[in-house]
Amino acid sequence: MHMTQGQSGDFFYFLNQKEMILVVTLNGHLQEAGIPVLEQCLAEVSTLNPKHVVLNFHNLANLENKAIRGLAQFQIGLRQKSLSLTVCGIRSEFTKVLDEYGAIRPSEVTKDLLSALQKIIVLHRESE
Amino acid sequence: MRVLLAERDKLLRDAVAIALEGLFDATVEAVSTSEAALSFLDKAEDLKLVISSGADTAAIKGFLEKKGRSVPLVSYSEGAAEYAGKGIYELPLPLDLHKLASAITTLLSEKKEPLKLRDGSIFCKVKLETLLFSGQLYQYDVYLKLAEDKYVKVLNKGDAFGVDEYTRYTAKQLKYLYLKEEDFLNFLTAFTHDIDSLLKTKSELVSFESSFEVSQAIHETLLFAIPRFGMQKELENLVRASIHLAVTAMKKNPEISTLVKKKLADKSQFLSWHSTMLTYVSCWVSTLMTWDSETTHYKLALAAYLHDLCLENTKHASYRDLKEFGEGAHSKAEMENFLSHPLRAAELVRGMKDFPGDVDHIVAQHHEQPDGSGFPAGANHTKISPLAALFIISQEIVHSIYDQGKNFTLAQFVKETEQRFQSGYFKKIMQELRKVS
Repeated sequence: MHMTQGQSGDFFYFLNQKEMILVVTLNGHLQEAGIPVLEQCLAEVSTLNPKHVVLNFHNLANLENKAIRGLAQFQIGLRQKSLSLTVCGIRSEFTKVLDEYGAIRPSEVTKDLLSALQKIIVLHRESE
Repeated sequence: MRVLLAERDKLLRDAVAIALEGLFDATVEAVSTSEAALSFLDKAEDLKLVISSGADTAAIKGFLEKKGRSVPLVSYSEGAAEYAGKGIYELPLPLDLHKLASAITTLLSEKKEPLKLRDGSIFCKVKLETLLFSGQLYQYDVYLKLAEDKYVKVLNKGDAFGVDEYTRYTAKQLKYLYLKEEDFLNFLTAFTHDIDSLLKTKSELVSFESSFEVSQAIHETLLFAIPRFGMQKELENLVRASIHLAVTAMKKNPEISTLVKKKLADKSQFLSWHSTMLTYVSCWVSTLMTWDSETTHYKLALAAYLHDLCLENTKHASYRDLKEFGEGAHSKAEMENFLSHPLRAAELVRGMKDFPGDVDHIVAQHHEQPDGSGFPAGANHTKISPLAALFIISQEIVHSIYDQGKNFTLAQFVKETEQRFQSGYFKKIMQELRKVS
């Protein structure tokens, strides 16, 4: 199990990795200044070699439009470093703007962490 | 909360562990072999929950039984039927994490910690009617509750509790007095003995009026005691004594008009009133059907007494069906508890020593409907046993008595429900009810 966190100002991330699943939880206020933190997070994820990544927005309190491009790049990086990416816990007000910017893929979005883990279980079962 | 998770599949192990950490703030020990699970169990005394896949469940259960340890267990395996019993919940694969979360919530809520005072004492409430019925010289100190954590002794060992004492406390709007936990089960044993003695020597004195209050008081005691002590032999014996009391009273063939006079005085006691009333009404209907052997009365009365004991929220006993339940605002866990309570109550019955056959089936089917719209199995009239059909109709009568109070009439009940109960044994029972209405 790997647990760590990185921080800049009001924004930080938290990683919880078991053997095959990594949960990346974003916390606080994501502004443009927080993009280097996302890059730091991605570099750390590269060393962990997860099979499945869950990106959890549950604790993200605020999202600045200028940070959305960086967030989209972050997700592209996560997809490249894993078999699957599942996004969960997005507040409804963020869903609309992220969708407009094309920064989320509806097929990857689930309501909450439990639903995200359930989706991975189903994927895993289908791949067996 | 410390949890043992025994799962051989890496991905399932990860997913369940992350879910437990996130939802229950659990500290999870995840292992991949039975040996590792048993080794951990041997050391971890403060374990609150075990989750196990099918391959390891038997070894874990065997180990816990051998060591006499009671730890809630959720297991899942291919082909398993969803099942909830005391301290155990079984789920099928593929694993549904939402169901797993509900199962854990259900199991963890079974263990309600009693209030412990600073000196370590735990008090158990006893209804005044129960004390009065016995009227014995108590071998225990009896306490009055002043506040959540403050009790004062009002009866010393050797004092009697008679009509004067009962009147004095009821005048003060008191319903309960309290015994220390270490005396409680002994008191219930003595109380059971008193009922048995009465039935053996003075059964002619037992009337519907006198027995109803005592039966209801005993039911309230069970609601309090079973979650705390489990269905121990003292409680099983008390259930039997109470049922014998009801069956003895029903030998005198009271009319339905007499039964409906026993109104619910306090809504917080709905479940006990409902269960006790159902005890008598189901026996009355069975007499009507001439299915009135003492054994049949005993089965119906036992089913009535226990059928809703596994409801976590006693107010949910007032819901007749899923439609009524669905109209209230309930959490998923409450819905799961409501849906599974017939099967869990049936399991409780099966766990009793020498329980009479059929009672578990009656209890399991008490929310089924002749058209198959009921739950948990959705069985229709062809699959519902005759006694369960009688029980389901009796339950409807009790709900109507509650809804309509003194305006209840059997004729109106028959008129309103005849269309629903037009098949199989339901139809025969309704025909008999129509004759006497």
